[in-house]
Amino acid sequence: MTSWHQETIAGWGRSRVSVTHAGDPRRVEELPDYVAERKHLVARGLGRSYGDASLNTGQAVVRMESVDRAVEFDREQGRIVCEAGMSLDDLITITLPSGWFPAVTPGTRYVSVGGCIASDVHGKNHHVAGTFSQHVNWVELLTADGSIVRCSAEDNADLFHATAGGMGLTGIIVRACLQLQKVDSSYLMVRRERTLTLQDTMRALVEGDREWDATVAWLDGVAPETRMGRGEVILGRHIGRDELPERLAYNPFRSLDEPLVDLPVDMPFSMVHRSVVRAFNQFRFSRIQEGDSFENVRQFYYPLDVAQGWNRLYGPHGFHQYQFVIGDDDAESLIGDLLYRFHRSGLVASLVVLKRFGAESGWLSFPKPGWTLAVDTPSNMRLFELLEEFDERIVADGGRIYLAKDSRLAPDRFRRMYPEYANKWLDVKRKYDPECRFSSDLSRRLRIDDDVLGDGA
Amino acid sequence: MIQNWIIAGATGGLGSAIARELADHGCSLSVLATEKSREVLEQNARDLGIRSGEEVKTKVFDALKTDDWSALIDEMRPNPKEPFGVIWAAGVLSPQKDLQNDLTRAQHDHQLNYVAAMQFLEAAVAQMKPLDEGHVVALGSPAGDRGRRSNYFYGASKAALHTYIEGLQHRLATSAIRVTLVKPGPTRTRMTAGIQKPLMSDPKQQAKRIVQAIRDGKPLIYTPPIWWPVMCIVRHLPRFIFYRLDF
Ligand SMILES: Cc1cc2nc3c(=O)[nH]c(=O)nc-3n(C[C@H](O)[C@H](O)[C@H](O)COP(=O)(O)OP(=O)(O)OC[C@H]3O[C@@H](n4cnc5c(N)ncnc54)[C@H](O)[C@@H]3O)c2cc1C
Ligand SMILES: NC(=O)c1ccc[n+]([C@@H]2O[C@H](COP(=O)([O-])OP(=O)(O)OC[C@H]3O[C@@H](n4cnc5c(N)ncnc54)[C@H](OP(=O)(O)O)[C@@H]3O)[C@@H](O)[C@H]2O)c1
Repeated sequence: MTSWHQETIAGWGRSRVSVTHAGDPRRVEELPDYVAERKHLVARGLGRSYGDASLNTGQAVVRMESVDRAVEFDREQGRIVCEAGMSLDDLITITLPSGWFPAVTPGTRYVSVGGCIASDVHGKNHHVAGTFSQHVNWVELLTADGSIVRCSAEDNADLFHATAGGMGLTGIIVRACLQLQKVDSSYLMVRRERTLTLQDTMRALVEGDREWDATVAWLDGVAPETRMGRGEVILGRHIGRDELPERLAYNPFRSLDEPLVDLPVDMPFSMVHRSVVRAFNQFRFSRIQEGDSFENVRQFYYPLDVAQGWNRLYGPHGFHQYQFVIGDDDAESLIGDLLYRFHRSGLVASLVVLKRFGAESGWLSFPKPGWTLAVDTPSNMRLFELLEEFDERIVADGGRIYLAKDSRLAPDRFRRMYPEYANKWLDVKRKYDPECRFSSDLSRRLRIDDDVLGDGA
Repeated sequence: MIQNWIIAGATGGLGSAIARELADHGCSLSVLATEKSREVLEQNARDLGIRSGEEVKTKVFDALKTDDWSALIDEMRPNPKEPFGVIWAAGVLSPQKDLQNDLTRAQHDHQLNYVAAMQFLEAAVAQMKPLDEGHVVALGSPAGDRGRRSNYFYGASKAALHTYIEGLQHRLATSAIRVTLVKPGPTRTRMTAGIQKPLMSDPKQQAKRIVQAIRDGKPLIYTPPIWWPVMCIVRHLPRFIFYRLDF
């Protein structure tokens, strides 16, 4: 028996609402019925993608929230088999006490394993560990014909590569087997450095990458013009019990704490005003504790998770995150220009994060060597005009935009940014889903559906 | 905190989240649901076992067709030397209009929400008596605090549960058996599927607060806590205002 309800949902940026049929399966075995009952559908995990990837206006989304069980956990080898709806929060609760942590984690633990594979997410350790799917032993994928296919880098490799980063468009990931990383405590040794210019920040990150497993920089996006690009470089590495001070060593696997704050209602207007962000950033910048300290995984990887529903602060119009990657040569000037233009146009870059990527992997996966910048901004028209201009510069310089954060990239630029889409991905999509049953607002916007079905269909 | 728990309604949104939370604390669980959810129950049990590292007992039953509650508890509890707790997380919320038009159905709902709950809890307490230790937990509802036209059948069954628990607490006041009544605000579960309201709580967060209250041995909690002052006001609103409100 299936259960569908008409509902209004949104991406994490909340800039657009979408009315859709939402299905709530409770078991993997029920999923083929959900697929059979709708012409077009897409899976949805925990809705942490910012744009339109997990939306399907007027069509259907299958919410994986209740298909989220642990199936097998090998505590010796650090391998877990779980259903795709499992959140990293739950995964960590299960595995950390035995000394295992996800090999790659995004900046929030309220994401599903399926969502992490479908967006092939990266973390602060991309320069050493690569992307999430590089640590996936196999996935079981429910395809358009209703069958479940197991695929991995070895078996049905074409389907595996199309699914990792495939934004849910090859089918519904129902289970996955993950290889975790061994940790000897839930703590990291963390070094924080205050930087005064963009050049400074970038240099500190390049140096940090040589010795540290996890690196990232926070930039003050509303700094005065002369201080553009100042911020905080954050470097971390996992440490064992022997390196911990006594007060922490007695309980080296201290578990994750709960969110402190919950914002369950929509704000009637945006609280993210320039003056507020400026005051906050000034406070944060002046308070940076330079030097080394111990932080647990929650403080280090998930600083934003202390507040549930913080995206509601942006009010009814929501916000946009612009995340791109760009090669080493063009990075400094492009990032500098972008910050400057935001400043000049009166746009509020409320959260700006900078990181350097390692090697490229996958077909539709976002990371490639160079620099990635993510900028949160309250949505408005001026912003989108400005971003058009930057899109073009980014394509021209061989960079790309992250689909998990996107809701506005133009179809032709998408094709230029992701050459493997036309070379390889599309063939696999046509083979397994010739009728384009798996589609979303994102796939229609990027005209992926048109490519699959042929012109004019 | 008690280590062994029997949960009725363990396939529900709240029941399954509470089961997980207890398993994450290393508790040993026995979980019950109806035949309809047999597979879900079995699959959940596997997950719970991985979390707790303990064997999980499962059983399907129909609370409306159970005569021997004592035998049921006996089958699910650990050996007689070990104390245990029980959690009543089963329940049903039918549309008020349907119940007004079909009193047999209203009777059925009351049978589950109050009568079966009372029988389950009472049988459990009887088995806790020899050790004089244990914990009894029931999921009530703020809907039982004041009758409203939109859900007074459901509300009445929860009000009965409330009064029953109050009496049980009085009776066990001098014993070491603890009794906790939980009144959750609207929570996203199958019971509320399709109802879109702001302020819907997440079952997982609810479960964290509920298990914390159980560990603290609280007699009564509203969760999230905001529902306590809200219901205080609702209970005391003069009729001429109350009748004008549409809820
Ligand atoms: C605060 C915050 C920080 C973040 N930090 C990072 C970061 O550091 N690095 C990074 O890479 N990303 C980051 N993200 C983005 C996030 O990791 C991705 O958007 C991720 O895909 C979200 O997972 P989800 O379960 O919420 O998926 P959803 O948003 O629900 O879906 C995302 C995509 O995955 C598909 N999908 C979901 N489940 C399945 C399934 N079972 N089978 C097939 N397809 C599926 C959907 O169709 C959709 O295309 C961040 C997001 C937030 C909100
Ligand atoms: N959700 C809310 O907003 C909310 C608010 C306040 C109070 N509550 C109360 O919290 C409790 C749990 O609610 P929920 O939201 O988790 O509901 P739910 O998801 O609908 O789950 C109901 C549970 O009751 C079981 N059940 C139904 N009929 C049964 C029967 N005849 N015999 C035995 N078990 C039966 C179900 O088992 P099957 O899966 O086998 O059907 C299921 O496990 C209920 O008492 C409810 O009144 C809920």
